[in-house]
Amino acid sequence: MKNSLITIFNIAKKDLLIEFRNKDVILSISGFATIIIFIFSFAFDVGSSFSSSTAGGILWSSISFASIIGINRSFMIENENNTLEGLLMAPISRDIIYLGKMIGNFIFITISEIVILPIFAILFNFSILSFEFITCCLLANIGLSVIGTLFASLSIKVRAREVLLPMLFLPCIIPILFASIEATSLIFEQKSWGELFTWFQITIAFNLIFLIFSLFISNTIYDE
Amino acid sequence: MNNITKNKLFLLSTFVMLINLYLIFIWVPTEANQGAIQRILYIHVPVSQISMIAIIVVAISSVLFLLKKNEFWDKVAIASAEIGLLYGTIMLLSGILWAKPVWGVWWTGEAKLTTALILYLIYVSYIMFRNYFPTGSQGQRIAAIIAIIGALDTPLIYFAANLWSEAHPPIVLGPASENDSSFSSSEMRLVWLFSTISFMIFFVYLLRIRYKLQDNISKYFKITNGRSN
Repeated sequence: MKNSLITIFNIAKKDLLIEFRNKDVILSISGFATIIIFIFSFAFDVGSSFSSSTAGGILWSSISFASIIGINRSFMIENENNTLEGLLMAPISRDIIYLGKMIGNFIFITISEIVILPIFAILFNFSILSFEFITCCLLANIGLSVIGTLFASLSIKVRAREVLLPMLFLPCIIPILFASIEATSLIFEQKSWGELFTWFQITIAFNLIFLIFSLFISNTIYDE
Repeated sequence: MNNITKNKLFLLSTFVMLINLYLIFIWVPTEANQGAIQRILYIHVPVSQISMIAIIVVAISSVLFLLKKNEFWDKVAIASAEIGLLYGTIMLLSGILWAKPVWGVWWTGEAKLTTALILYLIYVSYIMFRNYFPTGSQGQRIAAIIAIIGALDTPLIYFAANLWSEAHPPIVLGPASENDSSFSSSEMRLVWLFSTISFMIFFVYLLRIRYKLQDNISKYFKITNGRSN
């Protein structure tokens, strides 16, 4: 148990180390999401008046578009240098490799949000430093990284994956998108925890179902 | 051509479908509330039920493929996915045509509609993925996993879409907004049942043809050793 935790930590640490040297993934997620938020804020004329659900929709659609690009990037780095094969040859069980990659991606998305959210807060005049909003973000990030890592590992060998990955990823994360958009707009309107919790339940159920499924199926995913 | 006409399932399907058309367009009385447009539902409802059955077949045969590693189940999955998608397309088009006069809108954010559309999109990308896969067992395994993910996602999508449509009530106007039952008399329900059976027979017929095609494709790949040209 302790050894597995150390291995998971080491795989995530390896990804983070590569990331802090070339800054590929975090820059692509935060840069892309910021540009989409800017474009939406012009398109919907946010400065004058806006509804809370529009703001939540803009935030979460840009984060989900950007995160799939980032997750894809993090697997491209492995693919370009054939390092995933080295990882698979190491005497580590496959679910631990999956968990390590997933935690790495979770950290990438979370760090990118630290860049994205202040810009969002300035444009939409919204306080991001509330406990509810941080919970909402962390739950959604877990979901995005669970399903993103799963699909990215499935499609390593697929041609035209840049097009296909978003096509599969975006419809599958609809439950998380619905839940996060609605939770964000309820937080805007300063609603109680009881109302928020219904939406958090969906995200928690989604995260658990797909995390357990991914661990269960990980031997099949990475089988050569 | 000779082969097709000798096929018993083809003959049965043609015969039943002709009776079905007669029942839908001539025999069954026009519904009082919605008028002639309600006749679309005798095609729309069976087609959408069977497209859901097709997707259940895809999910079950994908699970069986992963468990038993028997290529038969993989071929059933691809055949059923493609025909389910064909039925799904008919379902979406006929539903849109029905909704405009009856609900007053082409499309609305109702939970069943959202779920059906998202599921449709997931299976469109499933088929696209299959075409880009490396040939051989690796591609088949990945396809099976994607199909199972789609099936696992469906209850969550439905649950979320249901809550969403409670929070943002969909706009539904027109004759069907008050009274939801579109098959009110027993004759209408009979035609609905008959139509479901005849579309089911047609589905089984198409499934067998598509399965045979997939079987031939995989035999061809075995002969040419995976080279497509």
